[in-house]
Amino acid sequence: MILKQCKYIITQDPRRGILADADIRIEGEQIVEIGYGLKGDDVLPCNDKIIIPGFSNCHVHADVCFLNIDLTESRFASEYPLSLIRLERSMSKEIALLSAEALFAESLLRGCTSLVLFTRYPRELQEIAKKVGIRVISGSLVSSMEELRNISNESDTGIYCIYFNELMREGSLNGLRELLQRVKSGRVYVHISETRRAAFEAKKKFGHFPVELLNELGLLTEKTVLVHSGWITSWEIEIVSHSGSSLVYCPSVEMRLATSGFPPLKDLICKGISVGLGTDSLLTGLSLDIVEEARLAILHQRESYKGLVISPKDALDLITISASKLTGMRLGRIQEGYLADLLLIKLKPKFYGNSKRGLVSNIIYRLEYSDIDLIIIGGKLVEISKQRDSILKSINVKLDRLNDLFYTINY
Amino acid sequence: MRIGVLFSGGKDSTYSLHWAHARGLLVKCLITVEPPSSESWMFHYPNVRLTKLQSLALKIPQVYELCRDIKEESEVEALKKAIAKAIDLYDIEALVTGALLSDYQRMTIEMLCEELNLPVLSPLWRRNQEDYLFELLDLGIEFVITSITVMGLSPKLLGKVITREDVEEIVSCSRKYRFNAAFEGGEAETLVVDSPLFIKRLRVRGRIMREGQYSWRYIISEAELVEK
Repeated sequence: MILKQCKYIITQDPRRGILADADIRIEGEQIVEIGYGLKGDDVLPCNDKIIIPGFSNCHVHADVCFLNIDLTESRFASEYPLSLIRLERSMSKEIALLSAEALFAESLLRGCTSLVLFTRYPRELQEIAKKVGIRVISGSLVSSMEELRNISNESDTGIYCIYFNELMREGSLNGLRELLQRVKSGRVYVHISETRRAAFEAKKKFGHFPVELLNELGLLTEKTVLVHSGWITSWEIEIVSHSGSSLVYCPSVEMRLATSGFPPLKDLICKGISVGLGTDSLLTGLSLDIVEEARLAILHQRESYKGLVISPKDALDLITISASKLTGMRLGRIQEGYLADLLLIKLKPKFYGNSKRGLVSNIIYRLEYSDIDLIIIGGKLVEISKQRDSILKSINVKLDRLNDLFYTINY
Repeated sequence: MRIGVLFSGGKDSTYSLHWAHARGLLVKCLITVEPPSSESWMFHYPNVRLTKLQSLALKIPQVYELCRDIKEESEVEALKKAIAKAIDLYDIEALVTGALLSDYQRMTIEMLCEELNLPVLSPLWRRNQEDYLFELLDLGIEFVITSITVMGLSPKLLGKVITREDVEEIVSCSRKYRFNAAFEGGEAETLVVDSPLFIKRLRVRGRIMREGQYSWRYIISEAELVEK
């Protein structure tokens, strides 16, 4: 397939180049050529479109992502993350599968082509993702020492989301060291330093702050992704930068739960740490829209630094090329050899102003889901604008059913 | 919200006090710990007693705690005691600090406030240091430098009210000699002599003393409050 005469291509290449009127050749799953005057049989005219890499959402709690129950926010926040863990444990398989279907549809509508999610049913959700055609990394939740002991590689996907503070509360240093070896070969997402209380408990019990402790336990590697970590210290940032670990930041969660946390993005980026963004869930965050989360990241960081740090270009990196380093896949860039996960956005005056220079900024600040015309995932075309109404209807049907099921939860 | 301000008398804690005031927070007290010597891990030493005059100039009461032991734990314990006193006496609901970049200082305060269940607000944390220095002047916070312990800073800056030209010189030196322009690493210490919230001005007299190759001190021999 050739995307012909694309009005603009936001490449996200190392120079962050924007090409005008160029062509993209896709073969199989990959982008194989970018140039001018490319020839072939299967041609898609794109002279009225902006092409941009598909967005990545690096952290979703899939089983509770649509959970809509009447709970007291102050109590939920004060007991977080234990309050979240309790709810995750009470989700049935039916809720998890239905939520996943709705999540994948919602994500596609909003231009998210790859997701990292955590669930009690990782293999089942992976199967649903395959059918839908969205790229998903699906991992297991580990929130107690018992769950850590029971890990078996047959039933999980080798990807884990660990609630470090809960394990730390239960275990001794040696016990933790021994058990954490079970997950070391996989990719490990670690909920860590989320709250001041979590930092305090680690310091009090082990004499170290949480990330220091994780390093002490030998679990800070290139395959480790720290999640939230709003209470990470400057010397822990140094440790992370040397370890090659990455970080997922969910600004809406920090703000909604008032953790007072603030992973300092400018410093993390300066230290060469890869950072992705996550929407978490509707229970803890604001939406499942990763572009909305990117906007919130800019606002949260600027307010916290009290300065104009983090540009829309940085925010786009967080949901494209930087995120791809967290998933280990060749995504987030329009370049030969990269996977062909692309968004084809309708060219509208609100995006380009009087030059292509404001293009990225306008897309980050002003993109609405109805602006996305077509999506390509792994070379396969999804005519999202034509399917939008039917997708929205199917999401609503699923949410109706989920609301019925939420009444049955004992929490 | 009723707050206490961790107050050393220098530019950072005074800025934070103004920040809190400008946001409508009720500043109920200043909280100061006097360490036993200049070897302190956490606190300013040489002019800490002058905070008593600043407290009068600001008409804000002060919780003043003496720490008799130089050990790190003793200082943390003294600070905890002072904050607990402020909670008891003034019913404060949050603590405001002037922490800039030092996570050691910030996290030490945060951890002991976790035990006291008290939120901490650090308006300066990770702010652009150079912008901050100019903003101090824009806000009308007048300060003098009382010690220098870094190569590059001229002793001529000691004891005089810092002007915009001085800040430009400090910023230029900090870039050349690679030190923190706002002195977060202890490169210099400051004393605020006037600010919009001061009812009276602090007048100080003293002399410059050299203590080492790049180490100078402004020894304050006289200090008094005068009408503005």
